[in-house]
Amino acid sequence: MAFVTAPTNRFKMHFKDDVGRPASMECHLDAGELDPAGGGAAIIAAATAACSDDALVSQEIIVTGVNDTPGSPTDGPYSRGADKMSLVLSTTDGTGVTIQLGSPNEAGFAPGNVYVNPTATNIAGLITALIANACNADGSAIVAFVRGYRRRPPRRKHA
Amino acid sequence: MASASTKVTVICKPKRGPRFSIVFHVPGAVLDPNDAGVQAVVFAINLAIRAVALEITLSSSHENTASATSAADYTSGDKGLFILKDVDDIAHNFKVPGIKSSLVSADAESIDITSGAPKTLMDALLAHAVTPGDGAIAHATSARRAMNRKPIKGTGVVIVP
Repeated sequence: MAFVTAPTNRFKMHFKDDVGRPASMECHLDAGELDPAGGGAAIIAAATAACSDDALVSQEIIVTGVNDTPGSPTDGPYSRGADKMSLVLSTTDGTGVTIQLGSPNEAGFAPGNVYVNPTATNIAGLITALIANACNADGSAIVAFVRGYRRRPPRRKHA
Repeated sequence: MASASTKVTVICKPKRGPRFSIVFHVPGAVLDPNDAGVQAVVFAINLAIRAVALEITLSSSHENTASATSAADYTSGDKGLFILKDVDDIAHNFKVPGIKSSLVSADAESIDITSGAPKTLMDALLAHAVTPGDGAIAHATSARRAMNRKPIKGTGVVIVP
């Protein structure tokens, strides 16, 4: 699996007016522009903010990659995106991180298909990958799996 | 400066139903879809679900401390429409929300792009913005106010503040 990176990055500026209504403006920047507060991004952000009575609350650089070998989805008892596996993990700063996986493979659940089995091969591999590489929004590293369970989509009855 | 973390959104296609997203964060320095750590997590996600990952986006955000002008004439719904064209003469529109009323001409429609902040914005877009396919933005065309107000049904009257 490899991702084909888009030829340009998206630069999105988020605004709010004095009563809090959000708005945004977006443009494309050269693929080398990776700092949302530097280079061409900073220049466009300053120039745009100077034309607006809204507050420029944040700006982001978005890099896109397309999977070159996605394969095909498979069928199973939870084959919709609305079927979720929730994984709760803890971080170095003590806060929790919840990651929701749509269309989970049923092999990751304990008997009864309600709770996640952290020793199932694919779940153990995912937890290991998250602990090695992921963090929370504040940048604190993920350190441990806490619990996991299945969430049923609303207004849909099934086992 | 980049944020403390990079938000990774994995867009997946399940066997049944619409596409959905899975979101996780990685350390802020990572903005490469082919980063080994990102790939390891996405690969592990692929094994744990029955859907397939089609696309990922990595987003680095910078927060500002700014305040909106109170009681401004134009708010988020009112845009200043800046139109530029690329080398193939294709128009690219950029809508500035809450356009300053001082930049709009007396007719409440036109924006002068030959001076002041609108010219600075046009120059910035010409110098740094590109087309989605990485083509150059070649020249500034015009700017005007894009109204949020819709004609009132039955009368056809357009509300212009």
